Amino acid sequence: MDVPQAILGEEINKETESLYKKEKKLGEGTYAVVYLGHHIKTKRKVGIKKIKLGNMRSGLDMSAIREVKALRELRHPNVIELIDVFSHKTNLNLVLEFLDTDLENVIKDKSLVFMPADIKSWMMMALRGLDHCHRCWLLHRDLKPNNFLIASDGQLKLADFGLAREFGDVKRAMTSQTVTRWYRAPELLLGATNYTGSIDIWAMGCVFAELLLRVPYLSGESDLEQLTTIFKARGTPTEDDWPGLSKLPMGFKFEKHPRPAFAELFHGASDDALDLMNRMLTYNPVARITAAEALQHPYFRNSPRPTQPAKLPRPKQEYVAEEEGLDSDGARRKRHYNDAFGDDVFSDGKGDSAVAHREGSGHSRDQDAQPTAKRMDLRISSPA
Amino acid sequence: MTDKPQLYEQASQYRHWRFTRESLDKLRAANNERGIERVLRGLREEAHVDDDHSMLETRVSEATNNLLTPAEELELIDYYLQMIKVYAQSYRKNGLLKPEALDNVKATAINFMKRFYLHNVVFDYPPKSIMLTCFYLATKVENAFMKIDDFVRPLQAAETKRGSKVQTKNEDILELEFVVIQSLQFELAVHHPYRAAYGLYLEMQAYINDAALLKDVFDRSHHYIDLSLFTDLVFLYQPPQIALGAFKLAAREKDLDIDTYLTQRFDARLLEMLFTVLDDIQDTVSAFKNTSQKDAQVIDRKLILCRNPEKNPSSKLYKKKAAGQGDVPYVSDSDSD
Repeated sequence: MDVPQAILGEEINKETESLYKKEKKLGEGTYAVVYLGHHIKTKRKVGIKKIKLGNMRSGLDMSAIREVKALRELRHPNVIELIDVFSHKTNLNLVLEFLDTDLENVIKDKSLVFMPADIKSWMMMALRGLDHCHRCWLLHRDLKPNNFLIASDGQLKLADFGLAREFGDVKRAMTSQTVTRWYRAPELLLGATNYTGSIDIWAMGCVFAELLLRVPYLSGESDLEQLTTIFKARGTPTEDDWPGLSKLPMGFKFEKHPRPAFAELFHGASDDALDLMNRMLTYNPVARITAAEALQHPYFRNSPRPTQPAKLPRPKQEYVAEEEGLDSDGARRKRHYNDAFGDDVFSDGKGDSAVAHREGSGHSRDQDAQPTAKRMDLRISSPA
Repeated sequence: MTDKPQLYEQASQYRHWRFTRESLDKLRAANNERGIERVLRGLREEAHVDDDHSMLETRVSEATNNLLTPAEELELIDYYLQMIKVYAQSYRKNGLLKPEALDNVKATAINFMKRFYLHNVVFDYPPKSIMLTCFYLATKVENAFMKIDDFVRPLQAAETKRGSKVQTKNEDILELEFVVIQSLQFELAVHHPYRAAYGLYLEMQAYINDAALLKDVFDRSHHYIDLSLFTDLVFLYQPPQIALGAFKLAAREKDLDIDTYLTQRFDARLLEMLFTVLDDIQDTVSAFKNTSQKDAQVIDRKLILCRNPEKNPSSKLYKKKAAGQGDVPYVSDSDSD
């Protein structure tokens, strides 16, 4: 082996920094600024997320550490690529593949009509990315439509790993205060500190429903309300549905809601789609389908075949979508930092410190979003 | 056996932190050589600061006579790696580090420090301060975060008790965080042999009848894994291989035959390769010897004379450069909680 020219950490860092050029600012939050940039030699378009750490009392924050730690290990077509990392003075710069828009923008653009094959395509890509994370023993812990970014070729990619962590060590307690509320699994709402990839699958089930409904499926106003929302939509679980339910840390007695007919709400969806969604939104986390199993579900084998990524619907005003996508990314970052960073939040004594207390709505989305459990216009029309 | 790439081959540990003994030696020698050049250049530059060249010759000859070899650098680093173990225990005792987080934090901190010195030399960054930053960073990476004040308080208490004049400050640790993380090339996920050892233990139960003895051997393997962390094995082999090597050492000590398991589990050709690896691991762990405090002190004293002033916060050169850049301090003091 020949010893390279640059050995020192700082030499390598400078070398990396010199590879990229920032072009313009795309968005700014309190803690991060996102730039459009490019790799100087290849001209490849990149997003550079500059995380400002100037005033952090305890140095590099958990959110930045988690994101860098996770993304440095993951290589998958359906996970955002962290191309490089470099530091400049006291800023951390993440060089990410540039992605145009996100699934939230797609869902919200009511001029777009989704075909069942489109939804299948997004779900397949999302589950592939998630399966890869879980195979690497990594939980995402913040799946929701605006964390699925979409590339110009239509590929969907898991992004925002600021809450990600490894799992599988039963002795290590993890926080139950994670995942944006509307996508938070019932075991987390009940205070579980030991969980698996099943919490990401629940969130994925919620996203599946949202793709069908075009509005969030389970949008509770508070943590307690969230459980009630889930119970009203899915029926209050019994000890039979979920053995061991009564042993969870916060043993509340809930009003008994009957299980409504699922197909009624999602009247445009096929049986195989409903079956898969049902398995993703199963109460008992142990019985809930895994990402690997979900990919083997008949839904993905039955017709229609998933739409090719390049042919998927996307927002028309591409440029605006770009800006919004990245801007809201900055806003997301800010929220993470506010939550996971307040030093007092770290000392929750639960072993796992990056607690994402989402104040207020628990979601950045408009508050006029429709409440759940109503019959909706599904906007799944027959092929034109 | 398929040729399909293993998931582990995607890990940064596999992609970027694998070496041979020869490549490690070569890298460390080149690093040391260039480090020495920087020391001498730094001393000359410092003489220019206030145009005082009177001491230059003395300083240069002092430095030249006390330069550390790559082997001495390693000895000094080894000593401070041992300190990580000691500190980890004390944080566990005062409750800041949960027992279940102890192994990973300790092993990651040790690994960070070993990786750091593949991309740095002790002339620029003495291991004593780097050790603390590696430790603090490891607590974050291993989900065992504590506030910087909580981290520093016991260090200060110990310093006061010792009657030490210098007090560790928050900034001492945080200011090096970027220096450390960039030297780690922002690759923070580290795999250790502990989990692999547990997996092996579970699997061996199907092959070995004496459950009590097997448990004994498994418990003892922990000790050998602890030792392996200080060696270069982490750069040479994969965590399950090191775990198995530790198991073999423990089995030999406790007189348990685990080769029966291995011969049933692997085919002969693979086993032959595996045994070569395991022999090397066992020999390396058995041969490992701590650097004594006395030896470390001798090297530390030499290091005082051959520090690179460019990186030494108490040097004239450093202060001048810092003043010139008008750097804003990285930790805000107004931010109280």
